[in-house]
Amino acid sequence: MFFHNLKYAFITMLKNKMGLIWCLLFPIALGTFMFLAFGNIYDAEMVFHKIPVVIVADKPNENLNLVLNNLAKGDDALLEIKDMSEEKALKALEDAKIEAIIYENDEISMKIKDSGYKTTIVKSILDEYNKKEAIVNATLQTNPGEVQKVLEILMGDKDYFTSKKTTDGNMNPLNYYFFAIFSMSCLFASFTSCEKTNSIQANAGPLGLRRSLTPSSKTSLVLAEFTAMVLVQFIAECLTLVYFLILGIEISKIPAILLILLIGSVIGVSLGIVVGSVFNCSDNMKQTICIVISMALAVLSDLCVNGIINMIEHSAPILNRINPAVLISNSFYALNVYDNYSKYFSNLATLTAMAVVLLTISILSLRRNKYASV
Amino acid sequence: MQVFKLYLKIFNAHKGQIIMYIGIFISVLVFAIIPNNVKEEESKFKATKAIYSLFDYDNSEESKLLSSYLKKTNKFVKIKDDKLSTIQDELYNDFSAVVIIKKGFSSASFSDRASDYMEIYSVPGTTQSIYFKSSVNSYMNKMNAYLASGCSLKEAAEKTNEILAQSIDVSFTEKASGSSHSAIYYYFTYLAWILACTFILSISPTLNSLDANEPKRRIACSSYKFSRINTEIYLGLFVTGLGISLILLGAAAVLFSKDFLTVKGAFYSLNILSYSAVSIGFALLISKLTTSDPITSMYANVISLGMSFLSGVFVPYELLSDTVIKIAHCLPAYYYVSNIYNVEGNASKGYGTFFTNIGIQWLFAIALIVIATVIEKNKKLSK
Repeated sequence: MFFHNLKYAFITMLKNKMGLIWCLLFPIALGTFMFLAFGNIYDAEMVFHKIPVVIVADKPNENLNLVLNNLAKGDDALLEIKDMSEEKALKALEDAKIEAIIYENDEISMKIKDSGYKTTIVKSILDEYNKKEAIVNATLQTNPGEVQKVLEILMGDKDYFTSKKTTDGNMNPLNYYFFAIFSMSCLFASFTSCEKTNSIQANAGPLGLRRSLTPSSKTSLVLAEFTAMVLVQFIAECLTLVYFLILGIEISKIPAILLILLIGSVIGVSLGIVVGSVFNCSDNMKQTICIVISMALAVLSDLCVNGIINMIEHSAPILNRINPAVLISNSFYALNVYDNYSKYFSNLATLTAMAVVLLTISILSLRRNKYASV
Repeated sequence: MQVFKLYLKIFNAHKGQIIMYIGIFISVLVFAIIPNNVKEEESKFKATKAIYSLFDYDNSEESKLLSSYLKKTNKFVKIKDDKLSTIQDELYNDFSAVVIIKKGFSSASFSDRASDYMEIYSVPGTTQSIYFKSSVNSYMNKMNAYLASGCSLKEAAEKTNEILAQSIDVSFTEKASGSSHSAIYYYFTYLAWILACTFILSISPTLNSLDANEPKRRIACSSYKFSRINTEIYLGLFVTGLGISLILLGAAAVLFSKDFLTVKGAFYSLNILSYSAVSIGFALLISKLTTSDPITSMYANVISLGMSFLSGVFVPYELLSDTVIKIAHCLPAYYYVSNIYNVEGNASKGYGTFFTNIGIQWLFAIALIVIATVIEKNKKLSK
């Protein structure tokens, strides 16, 4: 009987166009828009590229030019020196084609459009030149015997620290938006499951009434519906995952990801069942409650604005520990960035516990309902 | 004005979605956007400060000098510990680097051997990482040079601080934009998403209710002329659009009184009223395409989010690729955001294109209304 119910529940789910749109097409559409909008922002803005500058020399400074040309050479060049007149350079600066114009005159100066990391780097290069020159001149006057030693130190390019990185994984923070889409779509499963709950409850409509009169076990019926909803949601998540991989979003450790998506689907479906069975109000109101809860949890997991999770982590970290949307997104993040599975497993354990709690509440609220009359 | 009153009554029943979206928006604005976006007028160069943390296990005079310099030139934020996972999480978010000064740092005394006693964790290859590391090297290099020239530690520190305070002259172009957008910019740009979404979600179902067979037949049986019915419906659309816009403008006046209660405020107001007309156009069109509330919700989210991502709402205008900007020219939200960008003072084109963009938005609104009317007419003819 269970498999019979499962088969027809599955077919019913596949024919539910709105459910499929929310759990499959909407995440794909949203992911596509994000991909188009974000594009290669990480590469363009965060990854370092040579800083384009123009030098306008009324009184050329040969030493400075030597330094700047050296900084523009090689694979790890800091600058890209462009050759153009001052007028064209000013236009290029307005159009953000270059970052700064360096003026070589009696004094070195620069003109920029906006303050930022790149203009700060250019300024620090010019400041460094001036300062090193001043140090050498001061040493010549105070302690000329040490000038050679001072010059060697100033001209050296050794680092005074050891550079370390925390991971070889993908550190692009914009990928988090795509992870948040998965957590949102998992929670959107609550819309369909809330609606389906009405088809089980006798006091919610004629279909629920008819099903309550059947001789088949209610447990079998509820389990079949639940399994079908989780299965359909999980398949939709897998298809979304495949689509994102085709787009080129870096997502690794797929088997572990699939486990998270399965548990996320269980949580989404359970949430809808809890709302559908616990709240005694109209269908529209129940749907609204599902939307409000899902959207609120998704927004708090950096879906719309970056930095909310970080802000909550510093002020009220417990909220991040119990928000299923954050736990799902963080699991993706942990798998893509961390070298070990400790954070992933701790998130998985919390999500599993949540799923068990929600399922328990759903079962307790649905079982053994009695009605005065039908 | 029976149809008008009926319209408002039905609209009132659908106001829940508007309250929900605007409520979430205002919360995110107040708690996340406003505190992090205080635009400073660009008249003097301000070196960008990297966000970093530091753990000093040496606690020597040398390490304290370095810590003190880094605190002056960058933004120090304390983190709970120096475990790899904690550092990892902070670097993923805002941090440029985490510095760990090990015991024995003072024995290296700012020489090359300091690399054995100092570790800097960062995301390799990023602009922030390169900038922060170069500022550490700059200080260490100068201290090393002064110590090598015969200065004592105290003298070297004083001279290094003195020389690091020197700076070249930096000037700005005439139309410098400032390094970031103001909170009011984000408020109005995000409204492009809110307006489109809430208008479709509230107005389309209202129009569908009026268009349903029973009320429509009852209204048709009345003595009301068809033109009067339509006039009252359009009046209802105008009143609801204006009402919601005024509420949002009122919120802007309260939250950003300094920026909004100026000439710029008038431009922002005109811009938002034009975009409201576009949103009403979308709502009208969607009401002709479908009568199902879930499908209306789908249209609302796809249209509003799609336009928002492609037109510079969620991703700042200047970070969009050329291809996306070309696509965005077909979307009314692009012209709305472009106007906000102009009004904030970022464009070199001045206010000239502002009114052109206003005109384009109204053209979009009229086009959407015409398409909606044509669809309705075709439906009637096919019946």
